[in-house]
Amino acid sequence: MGGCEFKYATIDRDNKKENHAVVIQFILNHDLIQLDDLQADKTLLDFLRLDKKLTGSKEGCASGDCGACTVVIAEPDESGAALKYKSLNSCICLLGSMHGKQVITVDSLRSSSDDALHPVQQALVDEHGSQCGFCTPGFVMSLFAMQKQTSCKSGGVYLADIDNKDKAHPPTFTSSFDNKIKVERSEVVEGIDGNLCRCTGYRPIIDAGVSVLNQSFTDEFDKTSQQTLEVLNHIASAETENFFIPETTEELAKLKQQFPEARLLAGGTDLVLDITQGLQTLEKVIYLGQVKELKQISETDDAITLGAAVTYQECGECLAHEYPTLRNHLERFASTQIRNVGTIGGNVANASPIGDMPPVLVALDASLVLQHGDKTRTVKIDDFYTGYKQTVLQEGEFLRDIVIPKNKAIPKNKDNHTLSVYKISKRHADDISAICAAFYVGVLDNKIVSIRIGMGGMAATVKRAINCENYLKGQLLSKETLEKAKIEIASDFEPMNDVRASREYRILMAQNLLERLFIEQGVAL
Amino acid sequence: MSKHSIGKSHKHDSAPLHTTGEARYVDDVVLPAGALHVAVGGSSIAHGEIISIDLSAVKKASGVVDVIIASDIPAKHDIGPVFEGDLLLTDSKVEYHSQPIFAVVATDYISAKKALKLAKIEYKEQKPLLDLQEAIDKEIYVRPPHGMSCGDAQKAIETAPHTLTGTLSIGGQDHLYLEGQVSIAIPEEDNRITIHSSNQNPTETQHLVADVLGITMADVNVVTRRMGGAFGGKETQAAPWACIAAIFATRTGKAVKCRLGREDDMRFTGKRHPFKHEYTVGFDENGKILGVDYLIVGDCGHSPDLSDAIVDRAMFHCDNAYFLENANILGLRCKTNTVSHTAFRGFGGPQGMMLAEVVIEDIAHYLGKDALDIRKVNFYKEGEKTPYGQKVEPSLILQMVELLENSADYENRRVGITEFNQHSPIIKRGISLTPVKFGISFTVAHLNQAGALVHIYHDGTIHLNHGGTEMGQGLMIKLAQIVAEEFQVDLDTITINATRTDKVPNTSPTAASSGTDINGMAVLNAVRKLKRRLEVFAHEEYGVTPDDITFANNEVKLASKIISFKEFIEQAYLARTGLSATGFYKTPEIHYDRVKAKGQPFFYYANGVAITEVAVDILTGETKTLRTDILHDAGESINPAIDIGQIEGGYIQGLGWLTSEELKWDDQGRLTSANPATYKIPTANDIPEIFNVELLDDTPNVANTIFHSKAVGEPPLMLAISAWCAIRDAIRSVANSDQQIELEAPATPENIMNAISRLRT
Repeated sequence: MGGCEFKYATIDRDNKKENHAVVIQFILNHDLIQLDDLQADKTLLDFLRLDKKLTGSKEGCASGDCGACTVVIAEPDESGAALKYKSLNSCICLLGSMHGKQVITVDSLRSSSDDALHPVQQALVDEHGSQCGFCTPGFVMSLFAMQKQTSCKSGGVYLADIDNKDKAHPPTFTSSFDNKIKVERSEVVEGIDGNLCRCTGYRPIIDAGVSVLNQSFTDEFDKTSQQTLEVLNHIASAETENFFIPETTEELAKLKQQFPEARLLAGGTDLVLDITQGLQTLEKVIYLGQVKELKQISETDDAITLGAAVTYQECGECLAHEYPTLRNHLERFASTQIRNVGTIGGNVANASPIGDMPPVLVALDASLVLQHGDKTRTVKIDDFYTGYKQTVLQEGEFLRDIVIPKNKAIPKNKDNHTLSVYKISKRHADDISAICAAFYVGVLDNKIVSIRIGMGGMAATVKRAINCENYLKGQLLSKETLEKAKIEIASDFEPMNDVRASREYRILMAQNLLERLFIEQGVAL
Repeated sequence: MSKHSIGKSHKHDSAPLHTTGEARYVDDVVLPAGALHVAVGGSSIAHGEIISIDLSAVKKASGVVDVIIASDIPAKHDIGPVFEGDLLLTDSKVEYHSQPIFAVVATDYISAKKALKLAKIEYKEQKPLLDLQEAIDKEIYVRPPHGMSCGDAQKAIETAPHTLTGTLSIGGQDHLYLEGQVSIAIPEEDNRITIHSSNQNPTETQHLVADVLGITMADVNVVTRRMGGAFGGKETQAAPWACIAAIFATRTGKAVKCRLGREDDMRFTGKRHPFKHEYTVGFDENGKILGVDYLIVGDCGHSPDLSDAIVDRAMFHCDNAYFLENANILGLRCKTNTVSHTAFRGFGGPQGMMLAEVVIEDIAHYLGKDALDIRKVNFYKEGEKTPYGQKVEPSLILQMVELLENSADYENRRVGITEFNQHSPIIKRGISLTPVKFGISFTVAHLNQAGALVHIYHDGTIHLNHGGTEMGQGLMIKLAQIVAEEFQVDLDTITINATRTDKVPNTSPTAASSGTDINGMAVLNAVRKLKRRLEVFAHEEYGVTPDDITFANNEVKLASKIISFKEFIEQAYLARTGLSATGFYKTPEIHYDRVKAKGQPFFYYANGVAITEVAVDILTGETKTLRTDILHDAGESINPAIDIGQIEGGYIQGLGWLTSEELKWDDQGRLTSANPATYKIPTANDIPEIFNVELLDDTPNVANTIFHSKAVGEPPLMLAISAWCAIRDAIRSVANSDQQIELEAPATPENIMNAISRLRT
């Protein structure tokens, strides 16, 4: 495609490291951006809209709840040989965390040679997928991210070869049907679960998604992906005085000791709300997303260890493999854009009583590895929370790993261990729990031999249902046991009334979810 | 002549711009250098008196340029749209939490927002009135009660074989337009001002800005290109931010933007009215309604705003599609210490219709019958009159119900659901068919007028302007299709531009589903004036009579001669033909005597029927909408794709209102569901996987509307009542036969569990 010129192709990379004034570098669409000065708490959306006057991305909520600001990030994958793409909410993304990445915004999707709409855009036009249009750029970018992920999976990136055969008359977009790829309606729905539309009722948007995601084509981003990779791979470590991007836990530990007041930024899906909603000023930020150890997922015979900066998206497959019942639960964590950046460590260390992972970790008796300087200590998750949004973390200390015991349901054990997780919210997708309950139960000969119950939304912290657990241990799985257990679980909690549910409903749900557990264990009621 | 443009599913005119992010909303407008940004400071209490306001620290804050309180308003303080009661800024009484008291303008938005926190305001607090029942009991109203009756309800109820009484509480709804409230004020020479505003009602904002500044309407120009959604929430609620921006622009001489962040938007602006109904109904063994006594209570918040007309519309629609021979209907407009509730798609109609459907459902449950059978017994027959005396003709509902019943296989599915529920202890299914009969016209008579301005430039292109505003509903494309049809030219000949008060004056809000109906007719009027002039020119130039002139396929046939439209226009211009015309329209036939509560307030009725099937988990109250079938009457649709978009979108918005969208205020009167993290509108995951939507074929509007189409903006929202009734139906399967179901709307998991718990005790 002749008209496709990229400014960053001309950057003299060898001289880059000597240029100390440049602190943050990333690619914005097709331009290499170099920032000499960075306000630590500036959001990506404000940078796009206010500084770059790229107004295609919209602010609908400034809290990551509506998706109108969705952009797509490309970064080298684990091998460093290909790009991986993900969508995120630019309103709750700090600009500094874009260092070394490519940011793709809706403003750049039209063909640079003939202004043709990108196939994702064209599909939305064809299906009447926009009405007021304010949410539309966000949907475009969510579908664009899905398209990139789908084409990566199917090797579609290399379909550029098809294009090369017809260089004399290059089509704007190469398109062909590939019967091997079949993107289902349900996958499209999941891919746009973080985008709100108030006008269309979504049907035409889903249809557009199904239509375009079952086509194969190459666009300018595919054709320049190798070039993009090369530029990204040559971007050096950032050098800033207020937005730190450590690459090892050692560096992180030093920074945390040196600047104990600096806020730790992982996915930012909660922290950035302090800026956009709480109007706080964050002078110093330490970004965890490049700390190699914190991005690791490792397994032994007994446990899965997740680095604190592993995202929900990254650990989903591994956890669901070990605990299949978690798959549904993980899909209901927030939205795609949030799962793409939100971390397990953030969900744990944030210490919110309504996080969706801590109840599961409590039920599974997970441990947390905390690091301070070069010293580490391990605490049980039961002992980690001390109060509402309070933990045992000391000044200068940070959460490094989450260690999750593996399923005990191995063949040699006669008792059958199962994890059951239930989440209740007003809305199925992208909502915060009114109550979240996780039960890890071992049953032998119809008798409960072990049980741990973790509950969210029932107290100031995520909390075990100790009375109920104590009662249930050794009891038969029966209707009578259930009735008594319901009384016990009500005695475990004194939940509050709030916007999500009343105290009474929460108690009733704790009891009814216990009933669901019994039903799923085969108890006839 | 075959239709050139009407009846075709043209794409929304802005669709490519929407998808590329190039469509420009007010917040995207490039500001002049030195532009300033507003933040608005609200009350921290819900009810009381302001004792002192100290803004000295605010004024000194970084970036702050200017600060205003009520006494800084140049002229009028009250911006109530119909009745007084809405102060732009208050300096004495506080009537609701977050009521605006002062405003700050700074060099950037965050500086303005941060400065707000430095205000020191002392209050003398009073207990807020937050409970609607308390307002009913104490007779605290924003407007006087109003009644409507027909026949002898008391006697009919007393002599009826069966009677039932019941109550129904219905929650409000936040508009949650994706684009929040926003206005930009740009000072012009000679004390004039230009306002860019996301606004359904530019003329009213022009009027209010003029009043607040003490200048004339001619000095103010309000421009609205498009809104990122509105749904009634930008009818009166867009004006305050334009007024505040205008005051600052006048004081500083700078362009000023007032854009509300999402949480401010949700705290500062009115919502759909919560309602509470009480009913007594007398009926026979077939379920035929013999008499009703209805108390319809709107929670209006602290001021009248549009509440008189909204509660009226609830009263006009409490019959829905059912003949009420004997009815006493009393409507109350209660005051509470919350933000003033306002227009929202349906404008009280949905809340009134909910009562009609609950009465039917309760009768069915009581008699042990399928609710659809009870509905059929009660549908209006041709020519029967509503309680306010308007004849229902034609009455399309029964015909539509039968069509949809067949296409959606209602009867078999009903049998299957009953069977399913017998064998499924936890998951219960429910199904319901509900109709919609919605009256079209503003019930405030003078609003039923519209204007248009059409230019033909001498290169043959057409510029279309009118008083309606684009909020995503496809008004612009529909009106362009009307012009294209009349001149038989392609749509790319026609340029659509911003709605501006300096082009078309004295416009009505784009509301009451009337946008295409009234503006379309005004456009047609303008186009026909131009055609008359072109006929005169053709007669003079070519000696042809009007009968010999045919516009077709971008050409004009003059007897035997054919020339292009472009060439014809060029010739007309050279022959000095006036190629610009205004158009005007007022809706005929409507009249209403509010004192007697009789008349014909509506030009016609729009109709729809929906069948929804749901599943309810009776352990938790969670629901899933499984399948929806809709048949909707859009008359002779101008653009079927646009109309289907309105129907699907309206249905899902209604589904949100009745299931997951729950407004909550704490006992201090503070809105706790003030952001999209706590206030949950539907996502793509919430829509039924099977979602069949059809337009009623071959049924042009018998009323003389634009190309015999029907309004389609509001009516589909009420189709979602079928989902709520289906949830009730599922709950019914756990009830004993004689127990009445008390399900509050929205049917959140918790409200569903409450309804189930009541049945079990």
